Amino acid sequence: MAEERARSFAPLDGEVDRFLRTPLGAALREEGPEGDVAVSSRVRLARNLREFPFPTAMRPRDAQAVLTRVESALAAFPDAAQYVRIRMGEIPPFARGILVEKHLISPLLAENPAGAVIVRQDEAVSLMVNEEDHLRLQTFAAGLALQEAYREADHVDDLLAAHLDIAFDPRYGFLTACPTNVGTGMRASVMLHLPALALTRTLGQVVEAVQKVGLVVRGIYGEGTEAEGNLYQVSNQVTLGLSEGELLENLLGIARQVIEQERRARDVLLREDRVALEDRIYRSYGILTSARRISTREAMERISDVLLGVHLGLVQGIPSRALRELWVMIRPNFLQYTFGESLGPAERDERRAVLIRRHLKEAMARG
Amino acid sequence: MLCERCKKRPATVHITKVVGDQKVELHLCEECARELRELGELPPPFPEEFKPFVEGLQPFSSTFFPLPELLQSFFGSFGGKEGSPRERDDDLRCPKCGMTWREFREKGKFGCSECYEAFRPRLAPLFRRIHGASEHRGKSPARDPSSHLKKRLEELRAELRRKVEEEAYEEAARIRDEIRALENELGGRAG
Repeated sequence: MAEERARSFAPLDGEVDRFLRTPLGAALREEGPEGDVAVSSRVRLARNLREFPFPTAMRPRDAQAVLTRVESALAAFPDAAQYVRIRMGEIPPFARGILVEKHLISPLLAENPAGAVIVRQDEAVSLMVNEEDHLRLQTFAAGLALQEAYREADHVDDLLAAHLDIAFDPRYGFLTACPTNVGTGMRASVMLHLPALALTRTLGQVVEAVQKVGLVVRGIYGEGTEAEGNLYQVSNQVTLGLSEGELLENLLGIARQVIEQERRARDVLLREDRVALEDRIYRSYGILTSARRISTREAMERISDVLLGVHLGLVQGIPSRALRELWVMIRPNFLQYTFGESLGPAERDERRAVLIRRHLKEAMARG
Repeated sequence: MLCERCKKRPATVHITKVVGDQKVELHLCEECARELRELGELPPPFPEEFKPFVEGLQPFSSTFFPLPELLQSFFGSFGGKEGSPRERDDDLRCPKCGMTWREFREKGKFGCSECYEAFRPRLAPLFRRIHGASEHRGKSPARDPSSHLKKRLEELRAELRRKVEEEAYEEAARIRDEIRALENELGGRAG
């Protein structure tokens, strides 16, 4: 029984294993522009092949044919060797869970055995195959770097389109399974860390204002998830009627304003009651470095506090990268794979505390 | 202290910009700050007392309903209840995947790219409800494998012009070499 449980988190083979053990890919390791608030930028392009029914309505052999087409298109890429293919049906549920925890795939893809993801080694590009659309191309960049992320997506999109017959209509643009994605097929988003807006209780107003101008604000694990660790994703809602450049400009303009609001809220906190803010941050630091049991939810909040401390210059000696890594490492699947065994909830809370103490100690030793 | 930009008027606006892990302090006069804000290089000023900052924002679409409500408002409701009486659900069927307009209404998802052709007469109003528009204005698929090289070439040429204007000749030379290499790759004549 115990043996069986331990086996369920046994290491996978080389290439996939590396993705599952690295909390942040090379693309997201260093902070990017406006990195004190903007964690990362993502651009997703939805594309379909003209020839096959959409994934919601297709047969298994269609799914296989789509994957084969995409793979042969990819083989012609100048950097084809940089990409790793992972089929959902070939990896255990926890491995799919880790890919979701890292945002490389969506929960929907994880549930589809006929789905696959093709990831570039630096994790800046992830190509989901047979999700809601045949192709969901995602690019990631650190900080507020929407234009850079789009440039990469646009480039990979062109390479794919050169070898595939993409469903496109001159009037409606790129044809997608859901009418909410038609046109550009583009969903661009920025992940923002907004602890001060939350602390000053102004987040609600800001979120409302952002929604009023037609953008979407969500927690980081997608639709219907509440925000954990004060992390919010701001993205475009409309995909038709504006060009990619216009959509990106709109999002960028609003994201800059939210970032500025957050910075001002941080200044207000420092000015109005510095001791209260320091007390909060150092208590969280104390808990992360001393606790013997900690839930995911609490850990997310404490990490958020300490990261705020790092960005305000109140906490020295912890690189922000270590904290951003922890955000991924403490999640249930990643945690269990790290320890190589299946753990119950109470055990998870204990091991999570162990992992956080260990990771912070190592990070501080490296400086 | 004088404004860093015009070096004429007193600096009254002090802004901290973060680039990577560097904090850059900007000291500007009102006029320069306003100009930079208009150019989008600076975020707008903070409203007093955390007033919602919505006043300065321009909506760029006419519809901001969450999707389920939106589709419901368009279709009446999910579950295939009657829409408008003059709408016959079964008269439209996709010849390729067999999906009917009624099924599409129930699921909210198309079956294949051919559905767009089959349901064309009914789509424009739907898209206008969702996106506030019914015409695509963005990119088209490139059937030309070298198109990304051409795009890159355009970017590099613009960059070269900027560097020459800034008199950054070393970087300009590097970019010029990159442009030549790309032009060779494209098999075009150096322009």
